[in-house]
Amino acid sequence: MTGPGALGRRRMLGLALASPALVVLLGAVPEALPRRKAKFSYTSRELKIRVAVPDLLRTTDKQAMKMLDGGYPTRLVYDMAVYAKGSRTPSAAVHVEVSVQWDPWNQDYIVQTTIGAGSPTVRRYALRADAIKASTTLSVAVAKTSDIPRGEDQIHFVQVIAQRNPIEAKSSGAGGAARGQDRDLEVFSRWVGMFVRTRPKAEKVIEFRTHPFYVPHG
Amino acid sequence: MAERGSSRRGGGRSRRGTAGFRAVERRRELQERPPWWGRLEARITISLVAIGILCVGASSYLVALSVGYYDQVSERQVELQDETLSLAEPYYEELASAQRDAFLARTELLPHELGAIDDAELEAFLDRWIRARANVVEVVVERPGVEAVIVGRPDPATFIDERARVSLDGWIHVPIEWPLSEAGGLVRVTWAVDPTIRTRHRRLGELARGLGAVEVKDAGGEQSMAERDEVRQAVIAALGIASSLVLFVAILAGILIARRTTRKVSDLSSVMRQVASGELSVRAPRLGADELGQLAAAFNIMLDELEHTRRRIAYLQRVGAWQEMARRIAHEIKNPLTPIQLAVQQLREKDPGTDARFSALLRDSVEIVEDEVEALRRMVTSFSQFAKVPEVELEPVDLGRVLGEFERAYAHVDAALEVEALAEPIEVLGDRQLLKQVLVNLAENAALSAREAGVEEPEIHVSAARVGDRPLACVVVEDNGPGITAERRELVFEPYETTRAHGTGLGLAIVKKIVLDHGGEVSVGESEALGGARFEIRLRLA
Ligand SMILES: Nc1ncnc2c1ncn2[C@@H]1O[C@H](COP(=O)(O)OP(=O)(O)O)[C@@H](O)[C@H]1O
Ligand SMILES: [Mg+2]
Repeated sequence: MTGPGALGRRRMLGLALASPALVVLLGAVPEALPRRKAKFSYTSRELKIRVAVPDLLRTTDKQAMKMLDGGYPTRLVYDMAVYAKGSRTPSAAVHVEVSVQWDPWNQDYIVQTTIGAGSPTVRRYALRADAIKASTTLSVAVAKTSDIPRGEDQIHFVQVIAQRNPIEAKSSGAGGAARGQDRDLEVFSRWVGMFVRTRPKAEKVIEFRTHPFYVPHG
Repeated sequence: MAERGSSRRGGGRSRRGTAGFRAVERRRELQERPPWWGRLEARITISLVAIGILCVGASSYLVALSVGYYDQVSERQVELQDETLSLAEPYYEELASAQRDAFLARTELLPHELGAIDDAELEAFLDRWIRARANVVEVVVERPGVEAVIVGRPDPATFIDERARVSLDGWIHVPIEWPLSEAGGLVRVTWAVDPTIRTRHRRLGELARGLGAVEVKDAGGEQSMAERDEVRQAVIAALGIASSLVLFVAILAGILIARRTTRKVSDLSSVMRQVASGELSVRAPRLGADELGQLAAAFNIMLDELEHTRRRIAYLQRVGAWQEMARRIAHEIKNPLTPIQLAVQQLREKDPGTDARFSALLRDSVEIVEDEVEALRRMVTSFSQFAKVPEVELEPVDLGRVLGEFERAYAHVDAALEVEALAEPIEVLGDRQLLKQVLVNLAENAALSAREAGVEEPEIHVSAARVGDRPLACVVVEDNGPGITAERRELVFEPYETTRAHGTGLGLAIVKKIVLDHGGEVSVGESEALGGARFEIRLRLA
């Protein structure tokens, strides 16, 4: 890992691989997602991704702006997973939660970012546009470099699922042994649930994958 | 007018003319099965389906209405909640700015108080100042040319307020700056705000976002949120499909039940159609114990009787025709017999006796002719006897007396005749003389048949008894002769059916005619007791 090549290690890896030979496995679910640009960089320890999802929270979205200006926090949840091409199981994953909120006491916007199980970091912005930009642009370590096989023939991409204000689903463990009409009601509510076509997971969900990339040998 | 009249007359004529065809046509119509929509099964099924659709449709409509009603109610509630939330929302902002203003006002006061304090006491003063205020975290005083003085709350981790249960770190920090004096410098006081207000506001935001969404469960019991509109449609779809299932099951059950009932009716009706087309040998199947079953049983009994009567009438018609022919033949043959007999007698008397050979020839010939004439005369007698079987005159008759008279009169019969005494007196509707004639004919046949078959000692056994619980009496004549084979048992009653050289085949025909005229029945079988034929006559009780 050491040597003259160490200097060139920190460099952009974004590689557009248009060669048809590499687009073999399109059937896999993550690979069927639309593509977006992202920037990758790596150190000896971790692989970093820089990606912007501006359409997750736009200033033109009246309802979202109304909530934001009303002092209500807006939660942005990002799930990113690194897939080797053709594989359906991610080789690494990271969960990022961002919360944007107007602070009426200090007259600014608080952007609180939590990466994985780490402790939150807080940034403050006087302008709403800056706060939104900060909350929809991520620059995080998505994997440990040691988890990612290297080489030009080892193609990877990152799947990003971004949600705005995801709706918490409570699991009803307290149902217990319902009897009589209660149980019928329970059965009926499940029966009705089978006919509910759309169950929004969040106010807004954006799913995409990045362009393929590879990590060159040290 | 005239034309119309004539056409009407013409129509009348043609109507009369086609009356016969019409009956045939109606009969043909009867034979055809009605079209599918005219059948009982189809009609019952269609009515059941219609009723089912009506019921389920009506209740579905009501359910859809009540779903709509409750949806309206909850929509109104949502509107109210929305209004409440939008009314509550500005308070947060207003409260925050009010607090900020208060902090600002209190911060403004600090430079004035500091004016009188000299540098040495500054820190102690600030410490007191902080201790006196519950919601100050830190104070920074920057004076021009001097190092800034920073005094924090001595123990920032303690609870400021027991109720809040949040350490000072978790509070909202509001730093407020204010110029120290005209000469420069600045004070910065960091105020703390109880974060529960923010938590409450966040909860309010969650409520506002969740407004109009409904919790739904999926098949696994997992809960998730869905739009109210979506849920209403899902409820209607679920109800629609559930009631369609119920309807389907109900219709299926209805059709099965209807089919079980209508199958009986259609079976019965197909039998009736066959009967209407003249096929009398068909019988309705057993259809259980309900009214339809009884109907079928009654119909079968009716058919039995109909066929029986029809056979009886046919037999009597046939015998009547034969009787008429026998009467004619007897008449035609009887007339020339006496002149023939007289003529041959004259021939014999007028024989001159000159030629012995001729005389012998003449005598033989005359004898042959006289023998044959005698045979013809016997035949004529039996023919005219058959032709003139008298009308039956029914009256109550004691069967025991008939048997007794028969025994006395025919003791001479060429067989061992045994007439069993009756166990109880039986009175039947009958004609005494003709009943005796029946017994004589049967006894003669028995004796002759046994003799012809070479039986040494013919036996004839006559008995009579009541038939079970029915109003019938049964007279039985058995013998030890050769009996009658099964295939000839119907045939022997036909006129002119005989196996005897000198038989006429009329004896049993007369028997059957007399019995039928009595409204009774006669049949022949095999005698178990004697091994020969067994004739059984059933007569109605008086
Ligand atoms: N008791 C009997 N046993 C056997 N055969 C019988 C008996 N009675 C009648 N038959 C049969 O039935 C035929 C018809 O009888 P019937 O009508 O009396 O005519 P007939 O005596 O002139 O032959 C007889 O030729 C005989 O073959
Ligand atoms: Mg006879």
